[in-house]
Amino acid sequence: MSGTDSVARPLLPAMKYFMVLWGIADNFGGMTTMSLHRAGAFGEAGRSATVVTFDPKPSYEATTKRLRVQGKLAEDAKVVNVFQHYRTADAGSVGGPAPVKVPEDEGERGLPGVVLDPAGSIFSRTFLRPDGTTVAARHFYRPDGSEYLRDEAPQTTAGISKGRFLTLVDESGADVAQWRRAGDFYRFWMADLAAGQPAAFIVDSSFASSVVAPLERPNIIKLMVLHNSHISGGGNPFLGKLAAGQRRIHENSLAWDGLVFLTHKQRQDYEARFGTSSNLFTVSNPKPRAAALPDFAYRVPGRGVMVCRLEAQKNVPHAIDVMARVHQERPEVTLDIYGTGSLREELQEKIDLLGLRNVVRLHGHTPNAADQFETARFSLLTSRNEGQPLSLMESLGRGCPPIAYDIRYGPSDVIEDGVNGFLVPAQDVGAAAARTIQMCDDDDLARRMGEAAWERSERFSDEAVVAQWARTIEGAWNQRTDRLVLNDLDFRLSELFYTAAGGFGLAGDVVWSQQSGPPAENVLKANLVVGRRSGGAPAFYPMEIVGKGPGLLSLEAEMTADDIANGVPDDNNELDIFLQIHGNNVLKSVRIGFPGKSPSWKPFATAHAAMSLKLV
Amino acid sequence: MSGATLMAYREKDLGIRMSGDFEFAKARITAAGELILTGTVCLPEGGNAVSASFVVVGRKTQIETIFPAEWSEGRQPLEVTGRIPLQALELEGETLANVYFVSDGSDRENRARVVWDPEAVHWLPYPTKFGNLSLKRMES
Repeated sequence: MSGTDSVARPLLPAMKYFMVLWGIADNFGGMTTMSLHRAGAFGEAGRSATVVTFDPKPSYEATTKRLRVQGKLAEDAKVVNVFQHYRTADAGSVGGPAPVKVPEDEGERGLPGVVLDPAGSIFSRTFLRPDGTTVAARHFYRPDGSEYLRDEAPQTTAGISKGRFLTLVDESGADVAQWRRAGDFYRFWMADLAAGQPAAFIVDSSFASSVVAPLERPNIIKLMVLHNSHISGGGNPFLGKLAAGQRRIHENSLAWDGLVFLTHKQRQDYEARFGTSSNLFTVSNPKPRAAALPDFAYRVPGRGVMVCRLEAQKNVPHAIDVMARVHQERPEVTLDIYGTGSLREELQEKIDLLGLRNVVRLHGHTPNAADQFETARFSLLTSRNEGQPLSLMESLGRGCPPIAYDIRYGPSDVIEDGVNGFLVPAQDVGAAAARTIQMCDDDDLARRMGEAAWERSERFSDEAVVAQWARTIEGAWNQRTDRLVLNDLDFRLSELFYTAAGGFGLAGDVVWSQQSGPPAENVLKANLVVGRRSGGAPAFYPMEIVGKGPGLLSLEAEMTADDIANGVPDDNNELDIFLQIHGNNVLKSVRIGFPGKSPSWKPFATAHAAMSLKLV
Repeated sequence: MSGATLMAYREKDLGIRMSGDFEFAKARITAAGELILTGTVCLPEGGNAVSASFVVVGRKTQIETIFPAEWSEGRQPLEVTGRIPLQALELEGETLANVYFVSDGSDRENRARVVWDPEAVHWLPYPTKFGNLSLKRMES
């Protein structure tokens, strides 16, 4: 089992800390919970943190108050919002790019939609185009009714854009600063928040990542937390497409001082497919455990607990199937499921159909549902995929040994099979049922595993996780001057070749323009990557650097027939060729295009040992 | 080598005795869409290379397109290179074509298929439907 970092406690480096969300929804989920919690944990460790948001929401004061009352936001953790900030800032002292005259808007627009703040003052007016969705202009107002920001997107009468203009207005109505992209406006504000001091922006929202990624200041580091699988739908780690929400993050991973995985397993999968770089880190989510190990005597024999949303990802039908099998041999064993979701009725029908109404019970949303783990004999996790299942950590932290499918990602990072719970192969209902029976039959086993679960969950304590963050931030900060900031990094294939001996190779140039960092031509290297269609990790072959200069690396590679075939399963008949560029923070995979136009003539060896050409 | 001159004529005698076998080494496809064949030729003692070329012959029509080759001077084996601009191949209605090496020695023309042992070729590059480079197992 991995992830057994010691709980030595290096202090968080002395710098300003920001947790970045796009916004805080009224009914937020695990990602926002973790971000807010981290801000509090940093404060507990002596470094107060500020939560940064960008959504044009007029009610953050009320939101913040509510979160503090609910205990979800620490007293010393501030929540700031770009629109709230400039609503009350002295616009005359802001600075920023000098404004120009905004071109006349010749496009059609409708009546404004007005948003009021909680005090009843106008917060914003939004003008839409006739399509009802395109924003023509949005005006923002101070509490006294004066305008402080205009976000305008003028058009010609033909609907052709004249650009975008975000103009800051002072109290006298004079334009004082202007940005041509919303991202530039947000980044100006973020740099202003850092105020020239060392600062770390920890980004939880993948939506906000596009705002933060281009922020380049010598006093700022940026870390992106990957809360979910990087693979769409939690699919095959070597074949699946990148998750849509994370695609831009990974395609431009060099923009980050840190890409932070929650589990070692996910990082291992990522590195096996894409390679490694200096800006990859692993930091678990925190999940404080019970102050003391709950008394085993209070655990109800044969009672299992699940805490999860009733959605497809959680795969609750499998848990019901597990219990159906258990019920045949141990009719006294039950499962209580806490949580709600769109599948509740469907799941209840399945329970009823199997005659398990008194065996599997859906309790719906229950406050403090995690407390149920303190009186349960076991917990079940049958999810299809996860980022890092918090319910699993809650179960461990309350001394309730889990029986979990070994899915990507989470269970194998926290469960040592047979020690603090059971790992069974994903989708293996029979194995999960057998382990459930074993756990319910054997008091000593259940007690021993529960103790181990609680003891080992110490590494998810706030203190332990903050220590992981401290090491990560310190590492990222120390290597920030080695970070290459490159634009338009790409590969230009010059030729592909086939050898008579059955090998192949290629030659071409890696090109880029450099913004900062040490000379990239002295740092970058490349591998030819052979991906296997039938699955499994790809093979990496170093390319030879045959020439280099500013913005240019000339490469060649030749693979023999044995190289190509090495480790390829017999049932794998197709291989996909990529180029991987790496060095320091750079990690980029490029699909190589077949040279020349298509269709065109390609050489091949005939059955009679002759060269022919085929039009492909 | 002179620029590729394109000629078309009916294939004549394929049974001519070779005076120098072309040993294929590498086939390159450039981004500009050129196929470059390289290999060696060992001329018989006293042989004298006058000219050499690669000839692409459409399988159905037997239409030939000739591409002059260039070769190294000096010690044997001679290194031979032929450049075939693939977009210039005029093989309408064809999807398959054979490749020959033709050398004109001091006494006669010698022509033979370019030899490429399929036993050695287990994986062959091909463009996917999206135009990307992949390898396909030859036996599949």
